[in-house]
Amino acid sequence: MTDPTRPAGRPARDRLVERGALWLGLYLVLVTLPLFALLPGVRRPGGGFAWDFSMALGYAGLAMLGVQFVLTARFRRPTAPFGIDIVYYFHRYLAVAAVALVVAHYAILRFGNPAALGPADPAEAPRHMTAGRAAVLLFVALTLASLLRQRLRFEYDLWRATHAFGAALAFGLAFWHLLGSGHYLDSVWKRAVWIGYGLCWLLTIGYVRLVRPLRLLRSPWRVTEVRPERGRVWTLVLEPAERTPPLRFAPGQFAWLSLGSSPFAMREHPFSVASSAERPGRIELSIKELGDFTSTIGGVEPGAIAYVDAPYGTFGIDRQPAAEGYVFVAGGIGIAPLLSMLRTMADRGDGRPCTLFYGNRVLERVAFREELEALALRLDLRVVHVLLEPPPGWTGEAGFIDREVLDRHLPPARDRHQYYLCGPTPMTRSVEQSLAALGIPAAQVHSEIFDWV
Amino acid sequence: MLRETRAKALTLATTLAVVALAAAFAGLRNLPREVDRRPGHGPGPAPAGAPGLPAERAAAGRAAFERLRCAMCHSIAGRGNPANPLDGVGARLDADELRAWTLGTGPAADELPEMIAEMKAGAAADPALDALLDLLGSLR
Repeated sequence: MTDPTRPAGRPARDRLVERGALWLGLYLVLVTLPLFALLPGVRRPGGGFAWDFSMALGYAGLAMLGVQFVLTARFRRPTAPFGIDIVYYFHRYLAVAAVALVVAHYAILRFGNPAALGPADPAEAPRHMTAGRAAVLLFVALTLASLLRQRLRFEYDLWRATHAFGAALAFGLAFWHLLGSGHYLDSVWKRAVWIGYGLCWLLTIGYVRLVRPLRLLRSPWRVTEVRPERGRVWTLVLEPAERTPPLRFAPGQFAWLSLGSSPFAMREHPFSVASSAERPGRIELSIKELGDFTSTIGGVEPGAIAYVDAPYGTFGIDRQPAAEGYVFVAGGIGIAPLLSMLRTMADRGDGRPCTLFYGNRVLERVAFREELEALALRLDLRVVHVLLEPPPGWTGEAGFIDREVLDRHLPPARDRHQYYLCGPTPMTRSVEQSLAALGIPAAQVHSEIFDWV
Repeated sequence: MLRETRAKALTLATTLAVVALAAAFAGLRNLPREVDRRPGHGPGPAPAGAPGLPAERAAAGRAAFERLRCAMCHSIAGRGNPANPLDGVGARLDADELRAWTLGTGPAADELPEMIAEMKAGAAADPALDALLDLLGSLR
């Protein structure tokens, strides 16, 4: 079996670097081309390096903030090569960078040429200048609120609504400021270029907030079963309502779930699909009681309507179909996407060797323990339970999934296997380091992060 | 986290590239040109006094320039908005033209956007308008 997407003899790592460079280049073109489009035929002389640098930072910063809307718009094609978690990381770090540019745009003028800014008092200042100042403050506040959300105990749904609304408002204010001050916008076509550019991002917002929810509304799902599992985990079984097509997905992918509220309400939460990809007409989401929303799952009644925006994500065995075998490492509820891969392999009669390292606190709370035993009979699967608090007489592994545990149980052809990690961030981080120390190439190690929002 | 580290590194590289391109833009806008080498053009320290104008009169003119917030759209010796530098304006315009452009009246009214003409009309009530006009006339 060969992977048709992989040219022979070229290491995967090189392709990653190439692809990264390509997207980086595209991003740079996207955020700076509209700026350089202002250069030809500009009638005014330069205003000194600091002045024009400040203006350029303002334009580029706003362009970067515009692209932010696209990064989180869940467009599948541009996010596919990276994985959605990395795209959300980009969204986060690029926000910090873009806001820094916008603050620098203001600060260079504030300290280098304050007279040009005019009065700060909104009663005296031109409206477009007040809009610019308000946009800077709002962008800074939104960024801080997002970075500190967990520390501030900002409730997720409220934060999400505030963030979406505030970002659109700040962008609108910044755009007003740009059109009002209009430095370099000295011809009709230059204004047209920038108005069109801004409209692209506003259309993106419209698509995400209106068109997509409308489409979801027309293809509802129905909860058919709510099943308790070990370890305060609930399995939600969903079936498509009439006229809703089944969900074609790859094992390991995830879905945005709206439960008990309209898709317009922006109360969606991402969960891995845990069921087999070979059974698209009945999907299962296994959810652990962790936060505000997840603690209500057990109270959901069969028959309830759900909206499923899916599939998303690039984590899964179908992206590396040529592997000789697979190694899975799960921590707690991180088992969900890995279970989907195992169940899919069982349905497909895939006989390749698999090893599952499964870390939990106590044996009693190991979700899907019995099903994994059954799967081990249908697959060439070894399950290595690693318990933090093993019961008396436990002869298996205890503690964390560290380098020694991995080394003891990894299969003989370990460097020709593909690795899938899903669990709490500290576990993923430490297992990645252990695997690197054991000589597993990084390109063969794939991790799913579930606390990126 | 490998992916997180990679995202951080790529973001940093991207940001540095954007900043470099913004600097390149500013550099291209400010390539040295003969005309820019005149003293008093481009950012630099403001001249101590306007030539040919008593210091007191110049100070009164500058106070009016500040009071009327002319610097939001104009610069003198690199201070204020460089989009519309006033350096040399005394040589380009005669006294009547200067007055018309300062107040947004006469021929200037036809060429200025309505909002700007309205803003400029406010200068008529300034007690130091004549000092301001003298200051502008001295910028040669």
